[in-house]
Amino acid sequence: MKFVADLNEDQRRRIAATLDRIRAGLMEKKIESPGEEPAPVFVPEAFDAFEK
Amino acid sequence: MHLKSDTMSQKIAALAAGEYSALSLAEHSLERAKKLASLNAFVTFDDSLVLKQAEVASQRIASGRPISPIDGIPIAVKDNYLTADYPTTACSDARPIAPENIDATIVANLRAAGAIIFGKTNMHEWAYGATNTTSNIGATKNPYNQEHITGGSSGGSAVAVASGMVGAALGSDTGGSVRIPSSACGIYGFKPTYGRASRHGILPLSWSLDAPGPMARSLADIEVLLPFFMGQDPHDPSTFNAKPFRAIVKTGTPRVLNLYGEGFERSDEVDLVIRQAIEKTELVAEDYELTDLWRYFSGWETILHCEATSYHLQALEKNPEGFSAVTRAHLEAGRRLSALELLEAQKLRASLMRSLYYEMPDWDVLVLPTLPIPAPKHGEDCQEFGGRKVTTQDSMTWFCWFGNMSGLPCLTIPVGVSELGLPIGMMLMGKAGRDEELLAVARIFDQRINGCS
Repeated sequence: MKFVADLNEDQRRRIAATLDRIRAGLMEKKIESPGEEPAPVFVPEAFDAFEK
Repeated sequence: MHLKSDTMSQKIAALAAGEYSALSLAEHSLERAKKLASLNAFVTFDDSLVLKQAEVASQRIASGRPISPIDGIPIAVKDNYLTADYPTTACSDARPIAPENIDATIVANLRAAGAIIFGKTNMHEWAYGATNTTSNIGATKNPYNQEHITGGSSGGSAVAVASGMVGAALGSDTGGSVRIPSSACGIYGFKPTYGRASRHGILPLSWSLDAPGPMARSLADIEVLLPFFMGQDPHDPSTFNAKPFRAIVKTGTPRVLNLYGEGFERSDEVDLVIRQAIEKTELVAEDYELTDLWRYFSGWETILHCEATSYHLQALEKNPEGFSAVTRAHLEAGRRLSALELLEAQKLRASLMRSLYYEMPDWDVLVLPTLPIPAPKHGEDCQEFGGRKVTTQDSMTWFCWFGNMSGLPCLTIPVGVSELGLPIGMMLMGKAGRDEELLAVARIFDQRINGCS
């Protein structure tokens, strides 16, 4: 992973830890069903559709 | 009449009855904010601006022509809302914004209704954290015990309300930032359904998760304020179909679900207080295990970091030193996430919504603690509870983030105190777009737990 030069050791550790945790979660929950589309922008109309 | 402990609704009644004037109320607020300056609630307030507004409000009320119920009520504003008369800094040195005669829509609504826009409150830098310990003016202090944090990111607003400086305050909530400090400081805080309240003029953290919300000393106060938050705003497209707020007086017996499972751990102390509070309601709370929570959390974090980095990208490249070290690390993490990872996170968001809507027994309200622990001490990096050891930051958002990821309306109400005398809050979550129903149910909880009418 490339870091910009002025990031300190603590910042680099935080970034790496954040990305490791996020990617572990994202990869664990693979959703491949074609019905699983990204959520729409949340507006009440969209929620109404969910409720029906 | 107790100026420092009255709820906003009691202040409204006192003003109407002529027990005190808007001017004397404003003078009291200024005095109290100065007396309790060590709590570090405010970035700025200006005596002359406050008194000028109060004098005009006093004249209106005295002549029997108040503009609205909140005419003359001092209201504090989180420092990420644009205000025409105060600069906006988001408690960061990165991008301070001078007053430009622009009010955020909600501020404009309140000002037009006669509220006294009292000042700007301390917050976690750019709302990018839930402890309120990262701020360019220093951390806020918990009014119940100054050795403890307030939680955040709307920590200054919570302090200003809890300590009786103002009648109510404005917050914003991306992963619990209204609810967390409200719970830690023993007040009420509400996050509306995403898309029902205007975000216009509120500096974003993550625009598909952000929601503005009121913070106050009673549920009645929250309901008085919500008409000024909710409804269509042509400046915020997400509200294009938003209904105005109309309080519901009565509701039937609610179906209550008590969520548990991995990711819902809490301290024994908090668990006991919440269970006792639920018992007081005499409602049947069915246990339901919600799974995969930590994976959904990864999705929330991905969306949060990607959107925050997108918003701050230019500033990050031009003036990276303007951000605190921790905030900059968050933004740099967002810069390293890919479009595919963001889309994967959006799929997780859809999956979480389907779980909440279709895969659970029918429900009216979900019940959780707002926080798994009482407010931690300043300087503590980690917290241990329920067999988990997590960062203090993660302990604050522990139960709150999925209300933002799903867009659901959420409310925290105070229900007890810890052994050390620190407040413990209960979170109630409702169905999307049914904010009024959630508040009606919350009234039942509040009446039976706290005896509030």
